Amino acid sequence: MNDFEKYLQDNKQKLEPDHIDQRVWLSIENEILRAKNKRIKLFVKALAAGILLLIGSYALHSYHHQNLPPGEERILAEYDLTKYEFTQQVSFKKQALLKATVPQDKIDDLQILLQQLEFMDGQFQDYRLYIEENGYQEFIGDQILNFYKSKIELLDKIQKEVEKINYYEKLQPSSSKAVDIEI
Amino acid sequence: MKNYNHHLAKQLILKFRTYSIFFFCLALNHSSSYAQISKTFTKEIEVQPGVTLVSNVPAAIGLNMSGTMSSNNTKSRYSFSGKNGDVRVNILKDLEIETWDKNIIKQETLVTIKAATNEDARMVMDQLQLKLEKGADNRIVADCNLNIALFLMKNGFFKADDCEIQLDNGRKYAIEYLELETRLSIPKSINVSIVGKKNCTIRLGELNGDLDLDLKYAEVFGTNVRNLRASLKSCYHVFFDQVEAADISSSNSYVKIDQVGSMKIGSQSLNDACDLPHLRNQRSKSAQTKYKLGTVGILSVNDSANDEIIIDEVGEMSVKNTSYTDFEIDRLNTSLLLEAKSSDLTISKIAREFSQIDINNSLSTIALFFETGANYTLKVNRNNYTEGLNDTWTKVSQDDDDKDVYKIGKSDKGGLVSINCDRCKFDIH
Repeated sequence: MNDFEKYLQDNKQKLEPDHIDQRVWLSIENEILRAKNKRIKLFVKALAAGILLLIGSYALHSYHHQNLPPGEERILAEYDLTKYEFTQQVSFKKQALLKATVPQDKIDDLQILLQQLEFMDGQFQDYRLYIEENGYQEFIGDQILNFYKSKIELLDKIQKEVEKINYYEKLQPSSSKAVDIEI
Repeated sequence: MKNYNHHLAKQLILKFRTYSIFFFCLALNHSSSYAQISKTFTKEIEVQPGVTLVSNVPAAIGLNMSGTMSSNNTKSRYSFSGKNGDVRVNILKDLEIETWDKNIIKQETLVTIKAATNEDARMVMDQLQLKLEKGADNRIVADCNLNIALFLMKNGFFKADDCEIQLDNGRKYAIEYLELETRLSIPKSINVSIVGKKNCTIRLGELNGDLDLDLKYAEVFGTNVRNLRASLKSCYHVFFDQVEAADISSSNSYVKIDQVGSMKIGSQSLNDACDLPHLRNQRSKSAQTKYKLGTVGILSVNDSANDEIIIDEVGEMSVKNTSYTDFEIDRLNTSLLLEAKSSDLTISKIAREFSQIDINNSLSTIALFFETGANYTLKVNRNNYTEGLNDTWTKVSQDDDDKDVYKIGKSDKGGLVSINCDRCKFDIH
């Protein structure tokens, strides 16, 4: 304790004023309250901004999500067609075809079927567009069921034709080199 | 204290009265906010045989919707709801065309409109017109949606459903709900042409005239038709009992006709409605369609790829420009000329009296079963790689085309079978 502090302690009684003006205390209290309110206001503002930001981003996300074209899986789920595992079957059959080869001079023979496969992929875009424009309609579910059956039949047919070509190629080999099927 | 209780009771009664008046007003306001009226538009016109009725399909009405919507369609209804699940548009997708002996075409369209007030609903109804008029070209146009060109609906986060209909003169009217149901009655003697790119079910009575169909995603249940010309895409149910002459091109469809005099498959290009723009030029005129035919007089397949043609009985049959299309025929009576690639052919019974079978094919399975006692001459090009030909046949000669000639049966008479099929499997009995 230094000399000044010691002096204040010793003369505490003398130094304390007999009467304190109420206005001074009020002004001090107001000053403290104002500082407190400022902090609360700042906190409320930050909270409101946060909430607004959350609502905004949610609204933006939902709007964007609503305007996105529905994906294949979503469409199949909407029509309760996922149980048939069509996409898995198609993918499996396509993988098998990707491994197959045919003599180069026979690849043209398969073009009609390969184009039909390409056409069918375009067909699904047509369903998607119809759904976007007209909503999920019951008949589109029936169409998609038939579409996948046809697509699987088509993939089976391509596989069968490839096997047929290669069967006769084995019996009567040509000089043509084996090439991959592009699907 | 007594006074206080009395005062409190009085206040409560007053409060209750105020609330009941408020709720009554609210209910009144709600019930009076929408007025629904229905009207059946009917028009009849007298026509002579030979005129053509051109009709669209009920769901052909244009839709322009933005915001939240949901479709609660059923098989026969085309129906959309807005933000709060309230149905806003509801159209009967079935188009029933009844045929009768009267020389009158009649269109009946039931319209139901809900609007803000009764006056509004009536005013909109007054603007609707059923135009069923004979044009200069002997054609009569029937519009299943009257003069309504477009149904519009908008809603948003802070905005309720805002629905309008736009008429073909461009005028728009605010409504809350629209419902349409159309029915046609026509003379049996006229021609009918139906164009539709939207899903619908067409039911047609007996027609002595021509029927021209250009359809996508449709179902057709016909009975008897004289001439049928159809361009179909993804029409999985097309049924007719009897057709005198049919000319069909289709993709991804199923067509069933019980009896047909003459039938052409793939002789005409598919119409625009049936094509996907980026793949238009790559496609055959008939593709991936299953044709199930009962009795056919003459069948002519002109351009087909990967179809399936199943026939109970056919008289004459010619096939060209065909690949990967399989044929399954229960009975062939007279002749078959087939030029194809990779097209399997099975004929379960070839009549004893047949005249000619000429097959040019490759990479296929050919199964021909002749009726017991059939006599015929068989010519086969044995330079091709073939399997399954009967080695016990006695070769009688070799023709100018280098084909081996065999005589089957006891008589020298009978039909001629000529086969040129490379890399094929045979089953001939």
